[in-house]
Amino acid sequence: MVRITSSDSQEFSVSQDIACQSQLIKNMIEDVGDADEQPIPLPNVAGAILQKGGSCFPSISNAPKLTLFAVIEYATMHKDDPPSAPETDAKPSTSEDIEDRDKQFLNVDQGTLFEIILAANYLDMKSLLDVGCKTVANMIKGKTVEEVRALFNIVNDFTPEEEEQIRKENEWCEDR
Amino acid sequence: MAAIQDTASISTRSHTPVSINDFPYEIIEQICSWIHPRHANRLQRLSRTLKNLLSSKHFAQLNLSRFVCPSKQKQAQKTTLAWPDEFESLLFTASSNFAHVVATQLLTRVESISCAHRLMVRSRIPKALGCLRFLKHLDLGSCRLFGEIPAELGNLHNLESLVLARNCLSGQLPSEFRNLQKLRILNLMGNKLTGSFPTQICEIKTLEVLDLSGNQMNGPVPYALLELQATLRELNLAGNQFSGKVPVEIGQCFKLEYLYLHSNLLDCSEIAFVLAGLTRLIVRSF
Repeated sequence: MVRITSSDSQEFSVSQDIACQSQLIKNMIEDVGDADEQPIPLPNVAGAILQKGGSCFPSISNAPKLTLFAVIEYATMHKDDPPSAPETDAKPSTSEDIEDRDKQFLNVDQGTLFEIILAANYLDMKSLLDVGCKTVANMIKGKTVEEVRALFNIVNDFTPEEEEQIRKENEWCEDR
Repeated sequence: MAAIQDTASISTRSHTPVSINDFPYEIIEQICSWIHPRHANRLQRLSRTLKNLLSSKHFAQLNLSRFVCPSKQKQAQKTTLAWPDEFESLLFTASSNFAHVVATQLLTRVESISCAHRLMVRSRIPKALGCLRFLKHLDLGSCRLFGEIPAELGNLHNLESLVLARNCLSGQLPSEFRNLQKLRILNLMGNKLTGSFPTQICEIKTLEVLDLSGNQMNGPVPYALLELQATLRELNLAGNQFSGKVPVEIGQCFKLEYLYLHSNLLDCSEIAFVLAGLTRLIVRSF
C-alpha cells in the first residue's frame, strides 16, 4: 500500500499498482524507496477530488470537489489495462474513441471535469489526461466561436478590427 | 481501496470553480489538438492567448499528429500531389506555421505538384512551398492565387517547370528567381505582375520557355535576353506595356520557335531584319 496526502491534508491508502498509474507517484516511490515509510504529498491536488462518486458521495453534482478521490476511482477502474500499444499504422485515435466506462466516469459538471484534467496533468496520468482532453474537445466541436467563449468564460480581448482581420485570414475555415 | 478520512471537510470546503483560463497552456493545446485542424484554426479567434497558442508550430505538429499517423507521415509520402486531401490542402489555406508543418511532415518527398484548377480557396502562394527541396514541377495555374510571389520559391533548386498562369498575382518577380538554375519552363501569363522586365530570369541558363504575357510589365525588353540564346525556344511577352525597340539580341536566340510580342508599346520597325537569322521560327506575332 502507498499512502498519499492531498493538498488539504487528507490521507489515502492506495495499492501500489493503482498509485503507480501516476507517473509522478511512480517516480516518487522509486526515488524514495520504501513507500510505507511516509505519505507522499500531492500539494496540487485537492483531496476531495481524489475519488469521485461511489457510495460515499451519492450525489456527485452536490459535492463537486472530489478530484483526488475521482482520480483514484479512475485508476482502480483501469488497473488491469494492458500497457498502451505503440503507435501503429492504423488510423490514429480520435476524440470519439472514448470507452463507455470513461464516458460515464467523466459525465460530471464542468468544474469537476476541469479539476480532474488538472490533476491528471499534475499526476502525469497520460490516459486520463487524454480522455479528459478529448471530452472537452467534444464539447467544443460543432460550436461557434461565440458559443465556445460563453461555455468556458473566455474573454474576447481582441479589438473589433483585429477580430475582423483574423476572421478574414481564416475565411477558409469559417464557412461551416 | 481508498479511504476517505474526513468527509465532512470536503463538503464544506469553499471553492471557486476551475475555469479553462486556469489551465496551463499545454493542456489547452492538448484539448484543441483533438479538434480537426480546420476547426482548430477557427478557435484562434477566441482570444489573444488562444491565437498565440494555436498559431504556433508546436501546436500544428501536435494537431496534425492526431489526425495523420506519424508513421504514415514518414513512410507513405507521395512524390506527386495532384488532388490534395483535407490535410495536404492546409498547405494552401492554413496560417504560415501550420502550412510549414504540413510541408515538412507530409510533403517533403514531393517532386511534382499539379493542382491547376483544383484549389477552391482564394489564397496566397504559401511560403512553405520553399521547403519542398525535391520539387521539380509546380503547376498552380488557375488557382485563384493572389498577392506577391514569395521569395522562398527561389529556394527550389531542383525546379524544372513553374506554372502560375491565370491567377491574380501582383508585384514583381523576386530576385531570388536567379537561383532556379534548373528551370526550363516559366509561365506567369495572365496575372497582374508589374515593374520592368525581370532581368534575373536571364541568369537562368536552362530556360527554354518564358511566358510573361498578359501582365502589366513595362519598360524596355532587355538585351540580356542574349544570355538565353542557347536554350530559349519560346518567348511570349504579349499584352504588357513593354516599350522601346525590340533588341536585336533576340535575333541571336537561334533556337526560338515561338515569339509573341504583340499588344505592347514596342517599336517593331526593324523587326524583320532582327529576325532574319532565326531559321527555326514557326510562329511570330508582333
